[in-house]
Amino acid sequence: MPTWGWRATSTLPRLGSRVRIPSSAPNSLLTGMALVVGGPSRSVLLSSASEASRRSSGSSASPIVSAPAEGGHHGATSSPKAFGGLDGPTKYVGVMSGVQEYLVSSSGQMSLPASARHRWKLDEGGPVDVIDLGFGVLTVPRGEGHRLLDDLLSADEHAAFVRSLADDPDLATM
Amino acid sequence: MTRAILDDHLVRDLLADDIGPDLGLLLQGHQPATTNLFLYRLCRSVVFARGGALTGSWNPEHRQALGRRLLTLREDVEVVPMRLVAYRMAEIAAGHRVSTLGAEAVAAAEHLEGPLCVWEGDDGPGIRSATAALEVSYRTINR
Repeated sequence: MPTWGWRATSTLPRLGSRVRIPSSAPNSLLTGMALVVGGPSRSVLLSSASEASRRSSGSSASPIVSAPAEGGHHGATSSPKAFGGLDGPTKYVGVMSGVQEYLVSSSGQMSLPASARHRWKLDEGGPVDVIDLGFGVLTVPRGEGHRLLDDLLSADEHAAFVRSLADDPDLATM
Repeated sequence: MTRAILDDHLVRDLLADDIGPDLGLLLQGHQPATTNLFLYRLCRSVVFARGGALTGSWNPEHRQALGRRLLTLREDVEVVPMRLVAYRMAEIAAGHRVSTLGAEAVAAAEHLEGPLCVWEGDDGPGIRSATAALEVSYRTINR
């Protein structure tokens, strides 16, 4: 699975962990970013912003970071130009229930709020799995990325699918 | 280290990091491999999958994007090229009661000189008898 081994750190305690996005990451990162922390057996902490945007606007996913936020009550420091020419500091820019907006700095850093960091035992930082889905980026605790396949297609569900092919001359087990 | 052909059930387990004791033991002695049609059957299953507690609420396009990523095979999982086994598949299919998928599995195991390993819940009698007749190693793997 093509994931990046990002590592969250605790260098910005007020903001939460910082996640460095590799420079090779595509611009699609910002055309609807999904930040989801938690495995298949746990609830979604931060739901897909692109989903929320799509539902609210009735259109396809739009960037969740469309303009730099003013002010900067949560600190952070860099002056991003990458990822769609964003300006302004890296910061946590807004909160709706279950959906949180972020800015990504030109150095590829993104902050994870302390509450989320605590919930997923990243208070001291730690590795996460990241999957670029094209429409967004999925971030889960390390090791949970592969296990998403269990949620997407359980062993039992696959067995049932294979049984449904019993009469298929090409794909039946026979 | 020799290669072992894994069926789609076992490839799913491998990719999901859901490796039971039997599969774990097998992988201690063999590098994983699979066939085009086992992989295709798994992909088809994922395309039709409705998802569980987390992904079940996603729209189908997003689920399929995730499935596409998750089914990207690791570099160390070999898929035996069809061009190497196609003719042998035709011979096997002509002489044994197997599907195209079964013929490819037997031909691939024969080509790699490794065992053909299937989940015990999907142990096909046609494939089993073909491997016995052709003296290809055949193993069922418990979960």
